[in-house]
Amino acid sequence: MLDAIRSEQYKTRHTKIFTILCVGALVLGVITVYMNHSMYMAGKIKELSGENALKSGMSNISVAIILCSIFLDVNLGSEFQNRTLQLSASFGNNRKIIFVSKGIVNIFYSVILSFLYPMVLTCVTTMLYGWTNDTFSFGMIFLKLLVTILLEITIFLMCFGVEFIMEGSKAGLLFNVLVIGIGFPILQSLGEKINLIKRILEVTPIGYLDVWVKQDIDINFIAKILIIVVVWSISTLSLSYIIFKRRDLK
Amino acid sequence: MEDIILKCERIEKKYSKTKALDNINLSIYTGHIYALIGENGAGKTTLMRIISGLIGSDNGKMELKSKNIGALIEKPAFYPGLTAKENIKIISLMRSTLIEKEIVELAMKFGIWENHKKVKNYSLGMKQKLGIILALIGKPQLLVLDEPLNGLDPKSTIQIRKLLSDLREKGITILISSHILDELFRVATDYIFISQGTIKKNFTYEEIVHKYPDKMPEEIYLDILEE
Repeated sequence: MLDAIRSEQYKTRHTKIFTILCVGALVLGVITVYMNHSMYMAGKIKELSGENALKSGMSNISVAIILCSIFLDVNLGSEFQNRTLQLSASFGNNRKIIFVSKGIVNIFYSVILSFLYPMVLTCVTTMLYGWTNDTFSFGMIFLKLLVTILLEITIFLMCFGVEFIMEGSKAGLLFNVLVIGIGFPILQSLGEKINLIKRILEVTPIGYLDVWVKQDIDINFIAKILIIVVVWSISTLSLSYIIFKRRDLK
Repeated sequence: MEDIILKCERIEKKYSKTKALDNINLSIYTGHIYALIGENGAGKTTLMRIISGLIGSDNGKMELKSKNIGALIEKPAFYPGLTAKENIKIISLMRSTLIEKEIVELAMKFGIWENHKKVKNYSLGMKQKLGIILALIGKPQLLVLDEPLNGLDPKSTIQIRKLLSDLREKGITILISSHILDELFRVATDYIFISQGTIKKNFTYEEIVHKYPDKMPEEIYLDILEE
């Protein structure tokens, strides 16, 4: 297993897509700061601070999911297209090892990628305007970051599962971007107005993406999130693994 | 008594309503080179895919003595955006081995070790050679090669022929298919004739020479299919 992870990690480091997307996230962060600055100068934004930038950057899950979807599609999808997945499988490698090693490495890189945009946004805004209003303690910010990482990992695992089920085709990318990346946040905002949607979303990770809007989070909230993260991660991974295991690799 | 490395019993495979393989019984002995010969759509690639673990059979049993299989099925698989050296490194890691001396020597002999071009820019023959090298990483006990001679120039064909003989001497079992019958008849020790998903005949080299003296490989093939 360890060698399979090292092999996957070596491959990911040597393909350009991760670097390209990192640069993309950095540029996007800088552009957002510039736009915020323009709106601030025009009086459309009352206040700019590092903390507000962190909140808005971390709440904007769409950017993270779109970046992650592109990364998964190129990095994982190309394995189906170039038949390198078949190459690994034909070496008598257990499909579970292939699936798990790819999952670990791809999710690890996706999480790094998802944090670049909010980090650039926060750092540059803090340098320009300072951290200022202390709504949250640093302990609470750390807790919220941890919760966000858990939620993002669960959502990235869904995207990973979709890529495996759709055999890395462009339909997988389209589904991840449109349904998970854009559809889920729309549902989340609809949930604020329609109670039924809110109730449904409460049993999914999407219902908790407003963690940065909430003032404080308590132990009950964290326990709820942990249950949802575990249930959704296991069910998504099991489903995609069962499909992958039974699939004929052409 | 020779060791059996692979035994297939009553293997069947269907693609929707078409039977790709029907009642395949096969014993592969260690250290032999088996030529799998048949027309397009005969079931050669399907059988090789089942043996390599890429697809499952609908029925039947397959016993493999070693799961250490190297395979090149249809066309070589590799990471096109990387160099040959990087591809070799990835597959070596995947197979839990360091980059082996024999692999480096072979890659140098084939002229791809010091080639810094990305593999996607290689010629068909170079890609084919890289595919064979990748299949050899980790010292497989059974090597499954589907059409490995496609796109190779005469010099490369000779190199591959020599390589297959060397591998056989090292005790590696090889299952190879090709439409270049002349080449197959030069390297193989055993011949499996397959048509419409079933094995028509099995011969050793001696049996075929004895039964069909003075005949060209293509004539032998046609005779067997007509029998």
